[in-house]
Amino acid sequence: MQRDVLISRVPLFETLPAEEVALWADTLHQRRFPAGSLLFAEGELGDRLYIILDGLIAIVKAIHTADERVIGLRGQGELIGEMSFFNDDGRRTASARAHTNVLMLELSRAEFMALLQRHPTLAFGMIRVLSRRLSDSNNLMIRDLHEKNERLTQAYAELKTAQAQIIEQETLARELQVAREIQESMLPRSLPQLPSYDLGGRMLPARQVGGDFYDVIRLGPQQVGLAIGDVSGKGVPAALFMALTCSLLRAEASRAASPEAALRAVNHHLSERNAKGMFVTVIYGVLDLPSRSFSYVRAGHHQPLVWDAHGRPQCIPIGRAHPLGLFPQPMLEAQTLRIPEGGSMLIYTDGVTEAYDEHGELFGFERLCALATQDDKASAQSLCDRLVDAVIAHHQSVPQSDDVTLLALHAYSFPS
Amino acid sequence: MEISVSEAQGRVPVTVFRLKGPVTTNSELEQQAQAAYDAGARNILLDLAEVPYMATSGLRALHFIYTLLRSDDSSESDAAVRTGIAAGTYTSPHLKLLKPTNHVLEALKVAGYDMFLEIHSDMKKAIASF
Repeated sequence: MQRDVLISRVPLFETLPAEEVALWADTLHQRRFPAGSLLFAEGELGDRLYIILDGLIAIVKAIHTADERVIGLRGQGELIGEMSFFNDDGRRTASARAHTNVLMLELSRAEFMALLQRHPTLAFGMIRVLSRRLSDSNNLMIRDLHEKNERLTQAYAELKTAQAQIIEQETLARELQVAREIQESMLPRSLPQLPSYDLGGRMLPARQVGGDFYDVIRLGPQQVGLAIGDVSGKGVPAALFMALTCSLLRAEASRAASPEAALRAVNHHLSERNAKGMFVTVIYGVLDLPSRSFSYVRAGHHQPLVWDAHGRPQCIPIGRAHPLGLFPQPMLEAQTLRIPEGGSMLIYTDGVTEAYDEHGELFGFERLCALATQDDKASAQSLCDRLVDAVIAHHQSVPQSDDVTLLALHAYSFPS
Repeated sequence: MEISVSEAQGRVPVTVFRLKGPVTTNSELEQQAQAAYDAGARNILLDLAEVPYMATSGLRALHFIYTLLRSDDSSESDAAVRTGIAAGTYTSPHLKLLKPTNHVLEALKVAGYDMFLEIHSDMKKAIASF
């Protein structure tokens, strides 16, 4: 298209006489800018304005900053850069960036002022342009304010929700801490001193609260009840079921005629109140101190590990039994073992043997057996602590997946 | 854990759950079993050949499925089942296990699950046993 036709189509110049248009067509510089290039930057001194012949120009505030904002697009027939001609300081009020490839005519300040003097009516056109820019700017500002206001309102609502969640989490964390303290208080605060026996116990929950427990219950001058339990699952539900089982067992142990009778009574209560289908594996037995005889029932729990004074594991037949809580009348087979003089017994939960490392390798029974029997001079408590340390070292970076609980006992010669 | 479900036909229709991976939670297996039960499944065979490890949560899920499948069976009296469970002679006619790995078999035996759930080593014989 001829340059004079293009110029005459610019709204501001529509009223110019044909000879003036022809003059401009011959004298004005034509400029091309590729898409993405910067024509001028905000704050620069401006002594040129441009008439867009083809393409789109983006008018940008705060370019290359986090607050960069495109405030408008200018197209064919529109002016850009005219604002600096009317500013007191002559600086650009915004940056201009080619949005597409653009073709423009360039006017210097002197050329534009001369044009205005020759055709003063152009000033009305300029006022219209400036007036529209002002109106656009006002509208944009109001829209901006609305958007910012909405974002602020939304951010405030999100902040309030987050604050409520933090308060709820803190409350929950405090309650869990109290629950943990209550749970710890259900474990023996200190183990009884028994003649010719050394006892040790340790529980390490996988979460804030756990589903394991152990207990030592004095039943008479020469008899003591030993218990360890592992509730299916973890966390608060398991902890509540653990608390129920632990309390029931302590109550029933003192009045039951045998470990089997005690566990059957506990099972009866658990089965009646077990809507969630939870169960607990338990070893509960009565140790006769003079004879070192341990009469017990293994309700779905791992066998006790027993070894003699030389660290040799003893073979213990596996009795048949179900966990507690599953059936109204479970199979519970009573068993008796004898701890050799100078020997030891360890009862534990499967969080010990089934702790796994980053390669999925289990801690395993063989490792437990080897570690437990290697040092018969260690106290029962230090044995438990050492085994817990070994389990922690085994799973290393893998989060502990299950509660770890141990109850150990060393037997010495009973005084006659 | 992945669960794939297929149907087999013995004397009765049998839904086969093939489990793959360690069973460390109960909810997924229980939900799948409930969905199969709701769709009409009354006999389930759990193929455990690719389960390297089963936590107590998995055992809990097995008991859930056992109870679910028993709830619809009026052919056995509760009293007879109770007596059989207590004596270790009762096995579920509706839930059976196939080829558990050594570690899972050990867990089943320790918890006494081998007393009320039949354990098979052959798929065809297992299907035919329902």
